[in-house]
Amino acid sequence: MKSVKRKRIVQFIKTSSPWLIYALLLIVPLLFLAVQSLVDMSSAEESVFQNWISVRSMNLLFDSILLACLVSVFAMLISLLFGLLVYSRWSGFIREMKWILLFFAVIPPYVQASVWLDVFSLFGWPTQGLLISFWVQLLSLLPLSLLMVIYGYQQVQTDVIEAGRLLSSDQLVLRKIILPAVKPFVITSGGVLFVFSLLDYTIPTIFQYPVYSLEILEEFAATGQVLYPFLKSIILMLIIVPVLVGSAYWFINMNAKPLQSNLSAGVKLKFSLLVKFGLSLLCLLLILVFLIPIFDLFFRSGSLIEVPTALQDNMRILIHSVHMAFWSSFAMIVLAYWLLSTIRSLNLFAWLIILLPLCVPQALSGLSLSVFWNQSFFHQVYGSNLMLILVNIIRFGPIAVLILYLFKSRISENLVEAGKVYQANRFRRFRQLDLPLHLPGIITAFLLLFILSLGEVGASIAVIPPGGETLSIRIFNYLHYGAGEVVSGISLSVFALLLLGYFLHLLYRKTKGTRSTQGSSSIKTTES
Amino acid sequence: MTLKICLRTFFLLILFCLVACTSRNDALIVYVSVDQNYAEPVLKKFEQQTGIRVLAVYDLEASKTTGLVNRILAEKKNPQAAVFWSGEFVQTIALKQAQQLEPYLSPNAAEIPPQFKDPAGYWTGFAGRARVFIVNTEILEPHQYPGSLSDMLNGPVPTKEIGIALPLFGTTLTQAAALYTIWGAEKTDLFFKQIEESDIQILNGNSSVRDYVSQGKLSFGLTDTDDACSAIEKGKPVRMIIPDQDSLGTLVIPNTVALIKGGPNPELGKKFIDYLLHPTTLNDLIASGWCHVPLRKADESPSCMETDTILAFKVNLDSIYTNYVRHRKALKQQFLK
Repeated sequence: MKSVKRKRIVQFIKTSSPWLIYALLLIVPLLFLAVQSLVDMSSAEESVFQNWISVRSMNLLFDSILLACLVSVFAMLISLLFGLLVYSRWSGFIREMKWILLFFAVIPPYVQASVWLDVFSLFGWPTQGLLISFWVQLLSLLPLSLLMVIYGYQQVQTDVIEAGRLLSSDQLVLRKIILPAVKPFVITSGGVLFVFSLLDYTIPTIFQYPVYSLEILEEFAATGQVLYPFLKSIILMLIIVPVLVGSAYWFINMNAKPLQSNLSAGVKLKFSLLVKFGLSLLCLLLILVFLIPIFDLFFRSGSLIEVPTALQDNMRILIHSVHMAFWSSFAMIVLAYWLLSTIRSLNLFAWLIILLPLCVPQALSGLSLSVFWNQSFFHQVYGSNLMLILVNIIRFGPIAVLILYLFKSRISENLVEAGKVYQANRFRRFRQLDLPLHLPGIITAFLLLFILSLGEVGASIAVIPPGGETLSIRIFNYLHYGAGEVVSGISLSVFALLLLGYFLHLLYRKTKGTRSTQGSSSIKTTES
Repeated sequence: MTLKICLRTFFLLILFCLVACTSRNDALIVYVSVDQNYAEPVLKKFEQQTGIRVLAVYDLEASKTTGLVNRILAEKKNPQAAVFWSGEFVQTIALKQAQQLEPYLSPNAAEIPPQFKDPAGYWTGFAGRARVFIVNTEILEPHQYPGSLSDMLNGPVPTKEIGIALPLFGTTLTQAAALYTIWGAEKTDLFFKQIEESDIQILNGNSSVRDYVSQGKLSFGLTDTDDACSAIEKGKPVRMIIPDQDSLGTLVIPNTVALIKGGPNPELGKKFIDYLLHPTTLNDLIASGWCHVPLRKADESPSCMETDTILAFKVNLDSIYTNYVRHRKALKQQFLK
């Protein structure tokens, strides 16, 4: 009896530990801030709701929603069309462009901001306001949407398409089979981008486009109290929570078919001349959009000779930023994997808890960490580089859980159970079975989290440790001062590293002899 | 095999700690709310000359000095920084009032006028920004240039072509507090009420005012000397006008440096303060393009300024702080509704 009870306790501890750690790192700081706000509210002298909902705030909210809608709609459209280009296997160049575009997702959004500021200025276009804010935010978030939608296209199986093509034209197959299958991915990507855009204040700030999420930071800056930014955040979260949680829950449980482990390489479809022309134009536009910043940077900095100097000047900060992004992603993957190993599926309430930190405005996330970890018993953590890692975890940890869950859902339970029967040693089972099965999800999640962590500014502002400035924070700050040369130097070194990374990646693929679009897994499921 | 995995994991954890848990025991930590592109070279030079490692946290345009000061206040029980180098004085006095500062009378502060330093040595000013008009010379003729703050409401230029930063933090709020001190509450309340009710563009910050005027979206605006200078040096069609030089003068907001109470390595902090207050440092800053008015005799003067002498408000800075605290909530309610 006692041993059974002990086993239950041990089992309970094993199951609840990752959840407790997740809560401590992501939920507890937010709750702490909420409690502190309630305490401040009870002792506030004046009516705190006086300026809570004001005409100015509502105008800002409207402007923010407008920007977010534009970004998400255009991103969905571009991703849908470009994904179709890739899926319909027009040419090897298009498939290669997919990798180039995804590679350039690593460019921090503030590097994009600096080059497009130049480009817009060169053409005499407005360098402030909605247009440039929309454009730069779209470019910085587009790779995320592209990733999701291209993955969605790869879920459409070739044999289903071929069967359809026997009976109908390619146009009809596109309309009746392919697009409906991709729809969940497109709409979810739209929802995610809407939320990210609504939460971001850093890019609109650079271009003097006032947004609601900046108010939250300004409230704290002006008052020094957490109550006011907390109240301001509630309104934003009332919009974000249903959009994000609804998108995720709908995608996972309602409209999406079980994810396939065999990713489709695409089908060579025949399109009408008009469609071909439209898709070619899109392709050209995307090429220009990604070539222009490169030319601008090299043109602005003078020559290729500047690259080594730029790298040398910024090497310390580059290494520091990469370190922070790497360890943040690693920690998030480990936590998410551990969390998901304790459960089979998640209900709506669990999803709400997991995704809640994603719905919190950046400034509030940073504030919550600053307030929570600035307690005397945490003083070794506060002020250290760990704060930057904690910031990335609170901002993007839910994404790690989401991605790993999606990949986990396509792994056959029978394989896992067989592994438990035939390989009793847990470490060996993990190494020989679990890790290979989860590896595609882990790699995808790691890359995405790395990119997001590298570009994080909004929440990090509140907790930057002394001497811990990251690349993105530095560029963000210098852009406000108009120090173009410094920004050019940093941007150039980032591009140089990216190009180097891309060429290494090409070399690796050539050596391994694998094609980039063949995402076929070696493990086939036996389930229908 | 299990041992290998454990060793690899242990190695990773060590690497993680090396990255995340950097030692700051021997470093000087400075919180800086001066533009990073000017402050950073000063800190680097100090590092090179003294061999003392300097770790800095800079403020950001989004949150300004107030954000950094709130951070210092939040860290009251566990101060992280030794020195606070601020681009203005009001927040420094706030820290003094909150007993967050340690007095230190630097020998290099002797030549600085008493108006610009704390008598007990809690803070010292060494160069200032003046509140000025930035005027677009392609839109306005010389006879239309504003000469006084009252020209913002009663001048020849339509109010919708005039800009001012949100007077809730930063130097704009400080100027508001100075006006309450100089003009009195009634006149200043009326002034801001008229501004709010007019078409005057209320922008996010002084740099926004600078940009809007430079781009011709506004005819003129109220900003600081450093913002106006940066536009002039970039060849924008703008000019700097110092208001009220034939009457009360304008507000000169000194940079201040102070020792934070309970901060780590205070002796290093004192060395840095001495370094910062040295005339050579001021000359270096101005030579690098820092558009601040020296409060002591200096070899350099900002190249963008047309005059070496500025008539500043003759007012006690502590009085400005008192009005700052008294009136900022009302201004917030007025401008954030």
